[in-house]
Amino acid sequence: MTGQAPLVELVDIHKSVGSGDRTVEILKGVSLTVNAGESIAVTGPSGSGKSTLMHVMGLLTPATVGHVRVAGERVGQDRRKAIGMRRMFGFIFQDAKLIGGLSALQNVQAPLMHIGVWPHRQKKLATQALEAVGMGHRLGHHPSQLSGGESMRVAIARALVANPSILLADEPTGSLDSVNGRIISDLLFGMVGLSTALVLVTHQPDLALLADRIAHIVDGTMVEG
Amino acid sequence: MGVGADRAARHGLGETSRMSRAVCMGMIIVQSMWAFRWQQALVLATMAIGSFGLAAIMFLGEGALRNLWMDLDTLMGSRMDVYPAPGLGDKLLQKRPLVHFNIQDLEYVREHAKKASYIAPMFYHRSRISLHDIATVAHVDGIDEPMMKETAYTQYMGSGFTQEGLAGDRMECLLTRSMAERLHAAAEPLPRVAVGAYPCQVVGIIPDPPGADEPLRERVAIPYRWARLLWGGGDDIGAIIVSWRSPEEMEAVVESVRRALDEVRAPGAYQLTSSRFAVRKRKEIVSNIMLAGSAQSLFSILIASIGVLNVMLANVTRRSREFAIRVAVGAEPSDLALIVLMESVALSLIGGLVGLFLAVAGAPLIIQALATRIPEASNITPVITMGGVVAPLAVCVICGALAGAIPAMRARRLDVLAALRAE
Ligand SMILES: Nc1ncnc2c1ncn2[C@@H]1O[C@H](COP(=O)(O)OP(=O)(O)O)[C@@H](O)[C@H]1O
Ligand SMILES: [Mg+2]
Repeated sequence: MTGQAPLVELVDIHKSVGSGDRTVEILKGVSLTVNAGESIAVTGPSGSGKSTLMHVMGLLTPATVGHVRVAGERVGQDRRKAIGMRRMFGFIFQDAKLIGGLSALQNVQAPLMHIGVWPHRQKKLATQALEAVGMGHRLGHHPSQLSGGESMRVAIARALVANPSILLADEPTGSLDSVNGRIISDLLFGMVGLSTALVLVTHQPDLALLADRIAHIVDGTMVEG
Repeated sequence: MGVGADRAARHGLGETSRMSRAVCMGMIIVQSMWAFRWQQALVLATMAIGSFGLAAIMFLGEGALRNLWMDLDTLMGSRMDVYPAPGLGDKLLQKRPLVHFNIQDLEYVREHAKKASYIAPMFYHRSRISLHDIATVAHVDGIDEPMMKETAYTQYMGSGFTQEGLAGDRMECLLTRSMAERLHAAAEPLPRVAVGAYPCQVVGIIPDPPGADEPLRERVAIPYRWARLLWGGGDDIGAIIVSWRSPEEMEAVVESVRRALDEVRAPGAYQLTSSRFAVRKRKEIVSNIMLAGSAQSLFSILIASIGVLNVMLANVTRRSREFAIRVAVGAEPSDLALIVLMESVALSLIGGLVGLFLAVAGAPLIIQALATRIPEASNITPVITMGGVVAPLAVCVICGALAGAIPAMRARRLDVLAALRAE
């Protein structure tokens, strides 16, 4: 049956931060299912909990209540399990979040290094990933030498290089002009395939419409559309 | 096998193994050390200074120690004492057991070691020494005339042996400082003590034999003539003292004495010792200087470690964004801890190597600088010892690991989301 299990299932997720009187409940019971090969757009006003949802889904932080299932396997509070499963996801942040001291190639190699891929293979895979996003000619450039759109393309290559099952992109076009935004969204939707799903947080309605489904979040609760 | 390795194999990332992960960790460490080279130069420099000090003091100290042995003859002992070693060679060669040398031995050695500046008999005996109601048992050295010129017997308070004493008309003695203190005899006018049953005028207080153990510091010296009269039944001699004029002649003198004694006694039936006390004392001094210097360098490495700790802590804070990104792209928190710890160790080790290199290159310069103030220092050649190489590196690595531990724990507990949110 596991072959048919959804890639990720969020089951009634609550997420609170802070403690005592200062506790803030950001997510108030969100459920979402992501199947292989699917693209989902997550929309909603600023501060509604979209980024937090991505962090919980990507196992960067545990849910306070509820649980996440990845490929049919339940990930609770077990930190070690979460760490192992995290590599199923490729993260893309709004501001690219490249590592400053490293070149584009080294940034893309980073995920492979943490997995322990042999160096020669690392270099080959990272170069391929950068070529796939049209950055094959900027391998040795450092983030300070790249434009916003170029940085985002490197970030996408970095998210893809280890063959994740799900891409989690948090407003990747938010700080780009429309031309670059278009390039990035084409790249992202182009990656969605049989084994790769995409969850995309965006403010832009035209972008959201490209997705198979739209999940709308308001004040920590989901209004699926 | 973790999920990561599982997936790596499935998705064409190639095989991963303990080995490949270790290689990758090494790459990450080298990469980030290079990326943050300026901040980390400080750590390296402080470690280098500590290691330099420790290595230099060890190289120079070893040089000074060796120098001490070589210089011995010029500075301290142009003299050796020959003692009987009873029992040993006699059994092998069936000669008469050697408990004492005798007059014939002395004469034989004198005949065969013509290059010696003097060859004198010495007679020593343990005897009761008393003054008023204080009494003790101590070594009494009967010393012959040529020996009285040795510094040990000329640096005295009082007059030294008088002509009367030397001629045997009056019984005189010298007390070591410890002996004089024991008997409360250190004040003028110097008293008469009883050596055995014989009243004996104290004519001088001489220094304690340097470096001698406590019981051997309380000694009495009397003219050889007297010693033989009192205890020297027949021809017996306690020891033969051989002196040479210059270090170049030492070897020849020692060799001729050996040959003579091998003939008249047996090889191994006697032993040669040269200014034992003095050597031990000087060695002690050099060792103490080395110890003090090493302690100081260790201290500076410790201080440097606090610097390392500080810089590494600051690095962890400064790099929290980088670390959070690494976690988001697949690093485990323990990877972060390992990165910080290994960087600290690697930096300290490199610093240690730099310091070591500087010490090797700079030791001769230190000696030159020292020699402008202390001319004797120019005799010292620094000696690079295993210990002098290993100790500073080991200390640097240990301190680097200790200083890296706290920042590593902090990196491990990094709040990834907070670090990702902060810009
Ligand atoms: N660690 C935190 N402590 C307090 N409030 C937080 C914390 N993290 C997020 N929030 C708050 O939770 C809300 C949702 O944040 P976020 O998920 O980033 O929203 P979005 O991405 O939809 O703009 C915001 O109001 C934010 O201020
Ligand atoms: Mg957000």
